[in-house]
Amino acid sequence: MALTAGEVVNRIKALMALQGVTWNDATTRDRFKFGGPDTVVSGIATTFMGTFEAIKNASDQGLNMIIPHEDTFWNDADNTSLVQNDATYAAKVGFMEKNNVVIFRIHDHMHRQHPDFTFSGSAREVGLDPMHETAPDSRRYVIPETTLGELAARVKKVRGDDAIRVVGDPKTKIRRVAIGAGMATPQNNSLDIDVVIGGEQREYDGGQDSPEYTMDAATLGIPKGWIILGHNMSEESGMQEFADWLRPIVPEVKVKHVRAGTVYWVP
Amino acid sequence: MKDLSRREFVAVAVGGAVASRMSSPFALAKPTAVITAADILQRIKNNLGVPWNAATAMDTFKAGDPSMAVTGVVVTSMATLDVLQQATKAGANFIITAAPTFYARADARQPGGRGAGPGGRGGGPPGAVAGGRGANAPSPAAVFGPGTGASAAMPAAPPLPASILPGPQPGTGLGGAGAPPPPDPVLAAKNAFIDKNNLVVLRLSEHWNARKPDPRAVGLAAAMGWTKYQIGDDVLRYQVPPLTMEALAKQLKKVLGARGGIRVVGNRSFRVRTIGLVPGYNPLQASLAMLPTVDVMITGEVQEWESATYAQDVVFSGVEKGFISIGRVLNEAPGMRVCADWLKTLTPEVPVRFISAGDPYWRPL
Repeated sequence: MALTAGEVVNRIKALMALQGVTWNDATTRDRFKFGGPDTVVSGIATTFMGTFEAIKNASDQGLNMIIPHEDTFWNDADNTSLVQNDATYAAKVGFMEKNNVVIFRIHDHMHRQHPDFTFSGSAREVGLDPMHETAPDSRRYVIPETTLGELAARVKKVRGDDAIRVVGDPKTKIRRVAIGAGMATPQNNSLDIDVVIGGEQREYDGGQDSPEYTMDAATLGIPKGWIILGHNMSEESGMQEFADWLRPIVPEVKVKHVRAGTVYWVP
Repeated sequence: MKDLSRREFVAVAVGGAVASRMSSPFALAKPTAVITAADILQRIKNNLGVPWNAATAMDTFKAGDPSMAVTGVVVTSMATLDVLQQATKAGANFIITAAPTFYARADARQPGGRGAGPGGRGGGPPGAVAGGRGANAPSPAAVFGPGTGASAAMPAAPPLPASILPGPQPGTGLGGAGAPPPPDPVLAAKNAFIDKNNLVVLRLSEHWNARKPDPRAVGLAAAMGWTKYQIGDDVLRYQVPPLTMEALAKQLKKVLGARGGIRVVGNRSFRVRTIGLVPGYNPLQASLAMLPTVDVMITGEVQEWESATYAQDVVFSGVEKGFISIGRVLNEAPGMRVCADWLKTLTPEVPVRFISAGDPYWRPL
């Protein structure tokens, strides 16, 4: 019997439940965003976000079920009424209809897994050694002393993206690293954190404005650093882990991690 | 204004004060040469052309005594400690800033008040009213604000379960109800510097940015030399001699003094002619409205999962478009330079100068 998208979701829910993550039916995020449970699945692509690029690349490889961590229609609620008059929305939907694409988002429940793959995947892709994590799943690392400039350069080299932004004195010595994923990027005013490597955070007018805080710390000679990878760069990595987690329970089809694509370049 | 030494700055201040007795339009209303920060705010309110929201929690005095005599005014994009030091060195004691001074939307001098109030939740689009200053002890949700993953522009989105949030965070005031947060050396040093130098700090953001035409657009266009290319009476749109995205991004970087904050979506070799400005922090709707009408849009800050991904999809779909995010602090700077020039005409008693906080970001090699 052909594997349907609904069956894939049922298996995800079942394995999550076995691992202690009970499904919350009230979630607005972890739902079908395009297509539905009856769609027959030819293959599965996990990706950071349902970008047009990820959808087309997956579809071209015969993978018609896309499991993105983030939204598909450029807003967290995937509220299509906001975008329904947009030409790119029409093109994207047209492509998905034509190619029998089905999209199921996995976000809230993924963040409840242990480990949270978005954190562990990000740590892997920025080259943090799991041996240096202070406790399993602590998201804190104590690394051999280095400078903010050297750490940032290493992160960029390992990660391979250009649009990494850093605040702080490059010469400041650091050891204690906290890692974040997406908007769940820790504040960096904790006394026991030297540097945060995170995804995305409001530049100011938030609960804690880390860029300004880090600039002032630098003026005072207090060791602080703020390395911002970008939301995509910080969470894409974990979708590789999610593909590896998913593969054993859907042996009928191919499961592959497809990158959502590079967002930014820099002058 | 060119750079002044402290002595020159004070001389200008005194000279201006003396001259104002004779010639200032404010001389009758204020017969003494002394002008206070409160007086300057009143003149701003009287001349802004934007009705003042008496309930604003954003555009208020954040530190110091507003009845203090002003020796000089510094207008800045962000009152970093570095900017405060430069201001003090130049003899100015009144700082007007676009961004918060105390590292949060709540902008309170005490850690207990930071992140408090509804405005602490990552904030809304420009114009949204922040929570009260120094409000009650923050709830965890308020403190974690931007960490929830919920888009501020999409109020319907529910907060994430607490388990998504990063681990324990000393320093955020989460030590339990009523527990004092541990001392924060950065905040303490900034407070001490302000007190020692008798500085007065005023945030001027939502009202300044509500001016028509948008001073941030006017200022950016002037800095880039685009004013003469303005399309009709729309300060947000310009038709410039064609140039590639790569050249445009480099030019922005050079003119704005950017280090690592400028990020671009679109083909580097795409030749653009029409430029749309969407200053400040913007929700998806602003990009949906602007990008289809121009070749490239230039904005301050967006959420990556909204406008940046939208632009990525537009370009991937085969439509030639460009999108440039220059960072919010850097984006506010030209508008605050315009503010300084405007303020000079209102406060002839004291010197006014603009100091940029610069680009917070650099990039690893």
